[in-house]
Amino acid sequence: MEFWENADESAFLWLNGWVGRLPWLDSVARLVVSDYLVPLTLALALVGLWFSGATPEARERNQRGVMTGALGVLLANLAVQVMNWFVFRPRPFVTLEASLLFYRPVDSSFPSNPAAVAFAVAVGVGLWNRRVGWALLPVAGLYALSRVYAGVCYPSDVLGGAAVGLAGGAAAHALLHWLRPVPAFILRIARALYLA
Amino acid sequence: MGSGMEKFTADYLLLSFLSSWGVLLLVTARERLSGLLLLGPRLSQLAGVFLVVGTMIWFFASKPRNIPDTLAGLDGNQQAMLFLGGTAGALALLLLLSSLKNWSMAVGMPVQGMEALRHASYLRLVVGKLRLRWSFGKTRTKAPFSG
Repeated sequence: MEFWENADESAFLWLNGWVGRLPWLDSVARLVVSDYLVPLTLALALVGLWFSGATPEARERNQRGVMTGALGVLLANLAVQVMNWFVFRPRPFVTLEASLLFYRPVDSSFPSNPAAVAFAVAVGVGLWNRRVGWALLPVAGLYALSRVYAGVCYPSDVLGGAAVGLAGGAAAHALLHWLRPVPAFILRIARALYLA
Repeated sequence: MGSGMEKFTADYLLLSFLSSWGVLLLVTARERLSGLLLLGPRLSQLAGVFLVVGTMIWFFASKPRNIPDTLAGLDGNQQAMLFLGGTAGALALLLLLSSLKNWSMAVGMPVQGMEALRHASYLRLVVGKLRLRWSFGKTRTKAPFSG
């Protein structure tokens, strides 16, 4: 256990140690780590995906992907909240000498909620549209990496968050498969309104 | 602090509205949903990219945005609600304006769902459907007494 904690801290200190060496990289990281850029980009991708598809069948698959991604976010968020009732891990800047590119969050460091949300979208969509899912995964990965670089998460926090996101996306897919009439009903209503 | 948060909220709502508008312009042009086009397909795609990139640059470059939700920032739920509001507004405005612009487009063959927007404007389709339902309802109520 101690070995893993030391490895986690060493990996954090190595990555965070780059802050200040390349000013352009710090500027990019400040932008990527923001609470708004990646979540908004993912949300816009879902909007675009809803309307995309060369055939009605392809469009329906994309729309099911949008629903799965959105439900995945809800489930991943819920899982993080529940885990935070039992686990509280202080942020790295509390115990280590870290260079911060972000404000000082006060919630638990583990698991990383932003990583969970981003991976839930990528996986939820990817289970219906692999091409878009593969395109969103690096965005989610970069978002997670930027949390470590900016000094607000340990590598294990974002790995834990990514795992929660993967599970959230997969659970959403299974849940919507089990509750098949619900997405079918939503699509029927949207189709009647010429919006699906 | 209160007015700072209101300003931030307004900025985020505007960002959501304009960037969603941009994505809608881009994707409707790419998918050839002619009933939703306000400009030619190429111009529409260009305007879409410009709107998305332009509003992002405006939002992130105009002020520092790494602000915690305990100060003037937004938490996840607030962001989601504002995004949904902005996107719904952008979609509603696009449906309205494109319907006015493309009203004269031929409705053509009856097609289900969004596919119909390749051939007709949104409000024209909705009005046509309502008319059809109305006349169908009238013939159904008249039928038992007609003979």
